Amino acid sequence: MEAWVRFSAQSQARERLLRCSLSSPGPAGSRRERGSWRAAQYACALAGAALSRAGNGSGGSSGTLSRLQHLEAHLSLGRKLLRLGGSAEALGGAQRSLHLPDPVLRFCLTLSHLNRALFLACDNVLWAGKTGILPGLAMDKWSQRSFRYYLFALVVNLSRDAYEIRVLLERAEAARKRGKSPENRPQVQADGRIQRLRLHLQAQLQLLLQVLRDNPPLLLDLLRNACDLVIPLEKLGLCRSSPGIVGFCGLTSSVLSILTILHPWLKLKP
Amino acid sequence: MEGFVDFTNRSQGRDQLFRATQYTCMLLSYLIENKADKKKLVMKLKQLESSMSSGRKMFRLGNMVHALVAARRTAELPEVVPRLCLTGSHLSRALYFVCDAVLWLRSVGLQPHIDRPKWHGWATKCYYCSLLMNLARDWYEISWRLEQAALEEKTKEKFFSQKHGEELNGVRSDGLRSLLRQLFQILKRNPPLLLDLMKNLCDLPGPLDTLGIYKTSPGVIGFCGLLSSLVGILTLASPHLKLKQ
Repeated sequence: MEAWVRFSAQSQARERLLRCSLSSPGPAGSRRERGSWRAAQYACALAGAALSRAGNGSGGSSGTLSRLQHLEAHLSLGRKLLRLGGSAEALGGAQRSLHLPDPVLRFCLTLSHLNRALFLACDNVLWAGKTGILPGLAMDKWSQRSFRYYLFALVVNLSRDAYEIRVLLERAEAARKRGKSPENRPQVQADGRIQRLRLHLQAQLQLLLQVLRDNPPLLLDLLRNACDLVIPLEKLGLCRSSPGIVGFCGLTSSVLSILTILHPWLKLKP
Repeated sequence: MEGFVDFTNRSQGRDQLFRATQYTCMLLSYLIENKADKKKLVMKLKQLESSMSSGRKMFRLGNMVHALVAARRTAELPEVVPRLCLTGSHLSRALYFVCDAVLWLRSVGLQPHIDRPKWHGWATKCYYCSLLMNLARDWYEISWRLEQAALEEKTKEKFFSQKHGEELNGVRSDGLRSLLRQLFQILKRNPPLLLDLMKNLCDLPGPLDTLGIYKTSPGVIGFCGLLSSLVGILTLASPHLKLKQ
């Protein structure tokens, strides 16, 4: 009790508590809130998948399982409510990214924002259908549509990440070549072709790991997009995986996005 | 569009918008309830209202911490009456959010054996308590300003009577009318105080009806709720209109 009193008496701790609380004012607080709900939803999905695997359909855990599924449905609907009007934000982002100097980044980010705006519009329609405001809605069709736009947005994000990696790799390669002494080169030519290819790939992989290690924002963005990719692929039936994997990937990407909100320097700019 | 995005990004702004929508649905469904051909629309309005309400409950889960932090802040105010009223109000609100969280657990199915009417009654009582303390603080602000205005008028009268001898003859309008006039002037000169008073008064019919103290119709509750949400939106959009705590 005393330790808690001491902890909460410090103003720094109080600030951290405020920052971690779910709905602090400001846009960062709102994004953190959305990230927290997403993490909670995917944690439920993961827990539900783990329970159903462990119980193998036994009667004892079915009560908890149905509660988890009910909670997950509630969280999903609540998140849809939070996303109402999100298309405006995405369109604003698209408008801003039109002024970027780099043409590839400009294309990728604008396309990504536009796809996200369309995904959010379909999501709003789905919310209206689920709450009964539009009762005659073809839920499956709109759901597929929304996941398709989400998938396009993720693919564009991943291609942006690939472009950034390529630029950084070229820069690192050039720096390495400048620093490399000429004596090392004849040694490589002595080996066979396959050996040369293997060494070359190894060197490239090392360079890639070094580039990613030196750029945490890029690494986090790449991991996040890769984890997010599993969700629409599974929902659209393009890739067979279990609900557990979907839950795990969703939870990982939510945790990573909360991390980028708590530490803004970890967010990939622009 | 930038302003809209900025406003809705703030969780309070979004909550006030949802609240305004919830009470508009309540008001509209009350107004068109008795029309025979509008039954479908009434059902849709009721469903929208309930989804807004349950969504807002979910988003309120973190507000307890905010209420406690605000109570801590107001416990350091210099004047006694605002300190007591505001701290009490924030603590009541924190209790209200606790009851609200328990009700959310029940509605989501995590704790199905929670006694909903009991907890709903407790939540309403805490909310009512915090409203009363806010109104007490508003009344304190009005009363010291009234005293100040009365003092100013007295000094003005003394000054005039000294200047012009006994010309004034003590012509005074009757007490109630001058009190109302002064009250109106004070509220006109202090828009934050007026808005806060209006918001608290408009929030009253809801808990009064739930607790059975003063029964009104859903139309009145919806209209007053909508008005208080609009005032809330106004104070969020223009922070200089918010009463300082």
